[in-house]
Amino acid sequence: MGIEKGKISRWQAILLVSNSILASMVLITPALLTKEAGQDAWLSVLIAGILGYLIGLFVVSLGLRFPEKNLVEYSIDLLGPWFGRAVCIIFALFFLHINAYLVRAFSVLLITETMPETPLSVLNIFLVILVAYGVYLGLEVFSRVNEIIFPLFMLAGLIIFALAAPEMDFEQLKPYFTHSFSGILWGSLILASFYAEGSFLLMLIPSLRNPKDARKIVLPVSLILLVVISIDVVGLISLFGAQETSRMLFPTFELAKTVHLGAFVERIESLVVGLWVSSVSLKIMAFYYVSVLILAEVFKLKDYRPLVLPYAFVLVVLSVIGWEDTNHVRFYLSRYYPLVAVTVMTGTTLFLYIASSFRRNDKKGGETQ
Amino acid sequence: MRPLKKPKKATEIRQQRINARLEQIQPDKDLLKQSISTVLEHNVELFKKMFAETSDFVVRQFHFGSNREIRVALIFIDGLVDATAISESIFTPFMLKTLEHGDQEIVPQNPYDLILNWLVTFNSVKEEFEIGKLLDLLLAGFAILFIDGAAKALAIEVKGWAKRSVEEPKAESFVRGPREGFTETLRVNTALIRRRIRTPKLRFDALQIGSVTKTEVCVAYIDGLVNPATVREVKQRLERIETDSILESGYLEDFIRDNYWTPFALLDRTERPDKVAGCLLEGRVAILVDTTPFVLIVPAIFSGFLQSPEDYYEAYDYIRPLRWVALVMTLTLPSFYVALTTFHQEMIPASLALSMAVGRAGVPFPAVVEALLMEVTFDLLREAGTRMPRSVGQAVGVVGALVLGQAAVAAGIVSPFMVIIVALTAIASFLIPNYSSSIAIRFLRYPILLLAGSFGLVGIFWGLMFLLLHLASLRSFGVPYLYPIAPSVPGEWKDVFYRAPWWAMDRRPLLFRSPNRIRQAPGQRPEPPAGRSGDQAESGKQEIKKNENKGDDSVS
Repeated sequence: MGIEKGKISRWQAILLVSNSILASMVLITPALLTKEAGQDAWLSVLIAGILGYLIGLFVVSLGLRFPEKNLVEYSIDLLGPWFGRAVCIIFALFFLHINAYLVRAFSVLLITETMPETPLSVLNIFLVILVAYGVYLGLEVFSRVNEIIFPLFMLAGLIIFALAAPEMDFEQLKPYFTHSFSGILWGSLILASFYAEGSFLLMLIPSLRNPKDARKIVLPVSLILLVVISIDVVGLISLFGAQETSRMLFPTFELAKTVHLGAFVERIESLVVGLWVSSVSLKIMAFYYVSVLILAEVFKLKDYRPLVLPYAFVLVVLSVIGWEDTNHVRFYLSRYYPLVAVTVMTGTTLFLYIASSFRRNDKKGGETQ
Repeated sequence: MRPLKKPKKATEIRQQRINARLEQIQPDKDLLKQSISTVLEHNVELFKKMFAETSDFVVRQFHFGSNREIRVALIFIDGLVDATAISESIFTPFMLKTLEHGDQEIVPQNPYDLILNWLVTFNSVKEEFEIGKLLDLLLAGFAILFIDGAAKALAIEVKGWAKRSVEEPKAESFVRGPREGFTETLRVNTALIRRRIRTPKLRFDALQIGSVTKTEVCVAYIDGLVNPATVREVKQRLERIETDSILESGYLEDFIRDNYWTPFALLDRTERPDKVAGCLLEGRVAILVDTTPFVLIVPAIFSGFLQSPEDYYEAYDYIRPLRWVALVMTLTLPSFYVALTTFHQEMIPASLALSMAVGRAGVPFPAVVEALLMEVTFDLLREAGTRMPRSVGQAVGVVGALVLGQAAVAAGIVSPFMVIIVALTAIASFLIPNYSSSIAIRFLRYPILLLAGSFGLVGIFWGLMFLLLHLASLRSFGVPYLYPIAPSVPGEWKDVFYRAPWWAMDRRPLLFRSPNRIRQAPGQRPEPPAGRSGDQAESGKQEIKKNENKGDDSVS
């Protein structure tokens, strides 16, 4: 069946999904959240955590209706060869789009923080080469690398927050519940849109060593995300205050600037950027892989590898021309992206879910008759 | 287990041409399959023709018996045989003993049995009639005795050539541990391993590779501990080799490794029998090659290259974690220096940055060029020091120290900080016990250095990610190269990042898929004797006793 893929263990899947959601979330969302919900952003995080858990369960339950098949195969089964393929292409293009903004965000970060004179396209190509290499090597390989990188990434984050702790003032979290509930809800929607990225798991369920384990992935991933993003948001608000955090482009990165240990470890933000490169490149790899895999399945290719290079070209171009400038990226992320992500990801998943329910009833009816 | 891709098939005609060429250097194939003749002269002539005028081919024809009517001929290769053994144990009994016994016993009717049972006083004698096999034995150091009238010849094992005795291994030095090293003789090497593992399950399966060199190759493993699939795969890959010569195990390495396009060694190699024994007991396979002291071990994993057998002998050593630090330093220290001084000056503490700026004041090059210059200089010196005779090597060292340490700084070509960085990197690279891996890591410094020079820290991390992806994609005989780090098996990190005490390592590593994973009884941690610290110790002691009774015959 389908294209031959590597097998990954449950632990690898947990880390891969966590990394794929966290890598951009941890850097971008605190500013967006505090803008909507101010110092009550932690409440948005909690709500989003529950939302995300539900989305995850929902996505997995769709996948587990067809544990041996991947997204493309069962959407063709459910919706017919043309419409099923169309839905899958939407998925693939959406991941291409996410990748484009991730690549752009990476370059924006580098340009604003360390290399103001380097052209955007150079940095984009630089990152995409690495990512394309990883995708070319396959799922097994980059999930193994992720197994090394993600724990290190978490450890580094923990150390940085611990070093920043002396400067934090938790009084800044007060007063509680001053923002409108709609603001808080909008904040949680933004966050949930990042959670929804986790639906790329749909394509990986057949690659799990034991597909039934998919359900056991959701809870650990949700917990990891909830804990990390809570620490992130609370730490940032108590360090900078909600107002200032919302004005920053990448607040987590700003936090690294304030960290110092004695007089010999200071200004370690470049190190953070470096670490973030590894993390975000793994995230892009995962989405890249899923999207070329979908395209390969849709067009009935024997292998996804011939698509890796053309996809890389499209990705580089898209990441350059997709947004005019940094402000545009930021505005897009806070206003449009959540709606697009939630609609496309949860929408198509929901659509497939409903279709599969109908089909199942049909089948049952057919059998009893 | 993922088998190697079969080499691309040449077209039929091309294949035939290659075969024909290979056969040109071989004696006639049909001739080799024939049996020897009963006429002594025919056989001797045949071999004389094959060897032509070769000076080390010796034929000794003589008669014996009471009437000197039994004619025999002894042929051997001078230098491969023990000359005293031949004269004492072949010529002496033939020529003198037959005289002593008088006429009655020497019946010329059946001289063959007489010779086999009475005269040849050697422990290893083979009866052979095929010309090809006789030829192989002759070249392996046997003396061949042709007897007139007999359709069989006797191959007498009188091997005895000049060989090195068992010495301390030169390429792997250490403080504690057995000081024996492998030699160039296969039999000596197998004996060195056999002495350490006294079980009949230790197998040495012999193969012959190389159509001209006919090199003996031995696949060593412990039956019952090794995964049979691994042994099968190793043998398959070895049998697939069609070449004319194997002069060192490195030849084999190129033929059987999983992926050629990688700087990393996908097979481990060692000169130390204790290391081979340890690896065999982990369920791995060793490949011994005649004429070289270097033994290959498969499958190999990356973390294995940071281990030295000595780690297992010396307790409470923090050298393992230190080696990991050294690995990272070798790879990235010059790059970090370049990245910090070129892109991220803010990360350097102010006072240090000032003195660095002073040091770099007169240097005309950017930091990357400076670093590249020094690194290349160091590599040149290292290579010169390794290949030169020892006396010249010292001179190279002196010149290097002066050039690197003094003159370059005084001339203002490099900053003193750069010298420190390069020296530290060099020392760190010497901490990696495996020579080939150390070379690979040292080589990878250069691309990372260039990346650091163009993109700063991000470039370094980019390079490291690329490297990790590459490493994670490698396999050695089906085993992921980064095991047990990725795929991660935290239970086995006790032999990777540090060396746990022996009583804690009661399982064989999972990765070699050994069918018998239990190494020893668990819970053998030594406890203080009873009475000193109460009941707890008492129970611990009983546990030990219980385990001792169980025994730990893991092989049976």
